[in-house]
Amino acid sequence: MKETFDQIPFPDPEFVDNPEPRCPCVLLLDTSGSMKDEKKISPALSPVQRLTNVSMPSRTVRPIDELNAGLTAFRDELMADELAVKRVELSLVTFGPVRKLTDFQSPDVFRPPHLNAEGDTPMGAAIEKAIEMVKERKAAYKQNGISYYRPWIFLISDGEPTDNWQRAAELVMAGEQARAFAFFAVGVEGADFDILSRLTVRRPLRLDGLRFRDMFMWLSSSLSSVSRSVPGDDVVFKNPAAPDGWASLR
Amino acid sequence: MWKYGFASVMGTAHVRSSSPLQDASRVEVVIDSSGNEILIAVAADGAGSAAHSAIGASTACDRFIHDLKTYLAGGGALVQLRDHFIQDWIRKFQFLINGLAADAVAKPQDFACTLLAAVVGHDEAVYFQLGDGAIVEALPDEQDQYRCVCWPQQGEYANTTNFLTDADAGQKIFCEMKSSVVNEVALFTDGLQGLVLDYRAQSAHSPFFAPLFAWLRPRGSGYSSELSESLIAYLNSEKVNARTDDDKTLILASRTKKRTADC
Repeated sequence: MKETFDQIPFPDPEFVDNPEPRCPCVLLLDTSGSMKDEKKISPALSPVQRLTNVSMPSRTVRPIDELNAGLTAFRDELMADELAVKRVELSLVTFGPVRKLTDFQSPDVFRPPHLNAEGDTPMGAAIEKAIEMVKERKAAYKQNGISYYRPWIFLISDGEPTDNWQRAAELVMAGEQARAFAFFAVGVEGADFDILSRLTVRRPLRLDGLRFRDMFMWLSSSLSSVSRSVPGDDVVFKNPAAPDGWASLR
Repeated sequence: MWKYGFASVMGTAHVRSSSPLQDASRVEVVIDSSGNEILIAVAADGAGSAAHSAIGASTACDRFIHDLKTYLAGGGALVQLRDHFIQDWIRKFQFLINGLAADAVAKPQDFACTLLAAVVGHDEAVYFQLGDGAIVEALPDEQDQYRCVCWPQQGEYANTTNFLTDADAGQKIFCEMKSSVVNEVALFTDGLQGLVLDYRAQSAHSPFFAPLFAWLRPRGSGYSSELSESLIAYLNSEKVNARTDDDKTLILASRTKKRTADC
């Protein structure tokens, strides 16, 4: 299908009626079998509750359910931002196995699919796929005269790679050095943080208590900030590892 | 006779964060030694998070007009602006900013801003651009068609560009000189470029400019407060704000074609 189009540079319809600069983001989501293992989590306590030592009953949840709920909240949050709707583009890749569930889409078109947990954790192949997708997307922008912001690749995993991840680590390193994209890694409890820290030039973040929703709120507001940044801006993100954040540093 | 209007208004993002207006614009018409009018239009956009970029932008506009007038009053010719004016001017501007930065215990980059300028004489015009934003002029022989003199300068990403405070500003500055009559010109900063440029065709979006110039053409000469005030309202409108939350500047200038009887 694509090949027949390749000869003639037909404009991509999505760029015709929306010439806004794009802020692409690939979500790389671990949907390996362990994501459906039930986990006990204690609810997030407010600073006052923490001081007064209030004990709240813990509850049992499955990471995959929290991830699904977080994705829906993520889309809603982006939809509420007039500029982000036109500029942010999301793509969803799950592993394992590695599957591109959605190509780059604006939040109004993006429908979070229901994710099921199964299979192993081919993280290396998933990262390579994301890097390739970012490269292709940039080419599409250029061909259509669309300007763009530095793409984000956002990896979330609760395990350790079951494939060869060294090549992916080299590609991430090279891409970060060339400022071709920004790569973030978030580890859910059970993740191999040693490998995550070797995969990214930034410090991997540890998701506190399956707070996927808070993490996606942060991602949404960060992408909104990037998508409205102008030359000379230092885009400042809220520190996810702050006391009221959703993560801790490893 | 030139007639013109211009406005720089704050984007909604700056209103929200109560940061200052970082765009600046000025227009003046001076008379050269042969009695001909010279239009000087200049706009600058202060870099987003640079602390003193609002000062950088207004200083750039003020100094550009002031220094250009001095140059012209001293008998300087438009055709030599590229060779005899702009490089010196950038050095002088950077020297001035270095001083301001030292006084404010800041870095020169804290005053970073872009520059757009159009200097239009009787039958010649000179354009300068450093950074994003762009300049558009009327095509001489085609009614209501506009040409992009320069395209916004941009790095790979939408949030990277060149600034007057960059060490290599002198090499990066775009300059175009033409020895023909230019009767209509528009300058705009990056807050507006998404609306008024056709990115697919890499050209000016003529339907945006044509009705505005059609309105301006029959007005009286000189500064039009009516146009400038309407521009402020338009640039602040929800429709425009839905497309951009950055500061935005638009300068529009038009002149009545001189009839031979006038000469």
